[in-house]
Amino acid sequence: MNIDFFEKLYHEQLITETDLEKIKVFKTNQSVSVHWDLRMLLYLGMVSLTSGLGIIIYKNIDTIGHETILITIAICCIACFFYCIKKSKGYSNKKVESPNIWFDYVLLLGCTLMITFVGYIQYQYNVFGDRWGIATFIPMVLLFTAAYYFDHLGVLSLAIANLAAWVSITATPLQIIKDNDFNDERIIYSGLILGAGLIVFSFATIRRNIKAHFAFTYKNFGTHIFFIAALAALFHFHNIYLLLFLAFLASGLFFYKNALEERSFYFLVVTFLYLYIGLSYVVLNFLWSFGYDDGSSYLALFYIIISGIGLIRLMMYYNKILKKYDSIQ
Amino acid sequence: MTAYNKKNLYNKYAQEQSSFAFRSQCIDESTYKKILETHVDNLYTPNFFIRIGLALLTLVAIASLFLLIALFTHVSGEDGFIGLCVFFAIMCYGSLELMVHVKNYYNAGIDNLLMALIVLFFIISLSISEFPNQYEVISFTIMIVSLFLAIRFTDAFMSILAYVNCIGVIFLIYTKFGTFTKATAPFVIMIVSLYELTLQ
Repeated sequence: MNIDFFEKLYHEQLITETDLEKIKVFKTNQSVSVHWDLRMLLYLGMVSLTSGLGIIIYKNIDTIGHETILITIAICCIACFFYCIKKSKGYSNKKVESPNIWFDYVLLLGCTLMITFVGYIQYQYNVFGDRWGIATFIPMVLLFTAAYYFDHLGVLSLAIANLAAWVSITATPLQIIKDNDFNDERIIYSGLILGAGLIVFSFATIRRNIKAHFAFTYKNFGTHIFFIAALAALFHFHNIYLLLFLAFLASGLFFYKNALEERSFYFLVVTFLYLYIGLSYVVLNFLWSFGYDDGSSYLALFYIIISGIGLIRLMMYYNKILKKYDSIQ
Repeated sequence: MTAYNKKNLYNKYAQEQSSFAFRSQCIDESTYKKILETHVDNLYTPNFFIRIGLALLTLVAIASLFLLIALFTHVSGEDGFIGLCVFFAIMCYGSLELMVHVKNYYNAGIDNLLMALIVLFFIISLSISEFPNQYEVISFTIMIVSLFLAIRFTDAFMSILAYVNCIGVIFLIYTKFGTFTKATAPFVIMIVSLYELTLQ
């Protein structure tokens, strides 16, 4: 805070002498916070440690041996979880604060090592055979348990990513995955169901008041997965794309209304951008249905420029509308 | 030199300072509201996410316009693309001046992106053809351009860019004088950084 500025305000009689004194005391006692700098360093340290260990192991795999590596990973993982269980404040439906600054990072390290361990034994020893679903299901359950018990949003994100992997693996026949055929429509269906499921779950967590602060993470993943799958459906099922576009618009309307209800700038922007991609696909398809000549290409570029400016105006309008309801920030 | 009305910038600063004082519980709500009422600015700064959206859409619109003009003019060859890039840099600057004067955009996403595009178009136009001391010329030009934009539009990112390019120019020129200068270059950069820090 700039003391000279507040002294000027005091002379203009906008603040009282008591206010000025409070500001001066605050300024004198204000210490420079290195909290986020330290947290960033801790995070970077954890990422560097795991990647560095990975590189060392990869380069010396012949001399170290798989069993030694697996045992080391398992011991480190157990040590991390042991520390977390010992320090944890226990489960609660409400938000639980971390007992100390190390806790979150040790938990994240433990979970990363656990995923590495499961992936390693499956890759090297083929423990689960061709049942890849189980190889993703076990870490998923453990990650969800850890996320809820220790109240960790980062681990929850890992768990949801694992859930997405499990759903797509379970819903898709093994041969398709082996052939790297990601054009299969079953992946699109599973994406749509998973996205919708996560959004429903985000509402349920708030309604049931079970870890209500997890709702944003569920909704964030759900929205992106749903929209990406819906766009993939629009591109894939070319014969009925107009019909699908109507369904896409209807789902967009739901997200739009919800964003306005919650006064969320983030979800409003995300919804507008995904809808714009869908609309642009339909318009460009229409333009190019007359053939890929210079005229249609010029029209397509004109469309992108004009629609881009139009959407900019629309976003500014909604920024004004939503800002009207802002309380003091 | 600055494109904005100084009173507007001061009022914006006053709002930020009083907002911090209010959040730190040094002033009460009625005092805070009184400060806001007496320090009104007409600068347009939307919400953070709206800013990202606006920047993305501006990028899409300008990329399409670039493609459209390239198609219309049948531009080809190195000179053609250099000319087109310089034209777009000037056009972006013109749009930026217009938007700031007419709409008072300040950190609105669109103005930030236009500034970044001006710099980018200059970099591309200077990188297309090869010429002696190319990196030194690019760094120096970008330093001057970003410094001008930083002062004119009070932009933090442009000032960082100007600083990085200033260091770049010093490093590139200093290391040309032999092994000794190469070995001492880090210390020179440290001294320059320290000097720039004391200038604050």
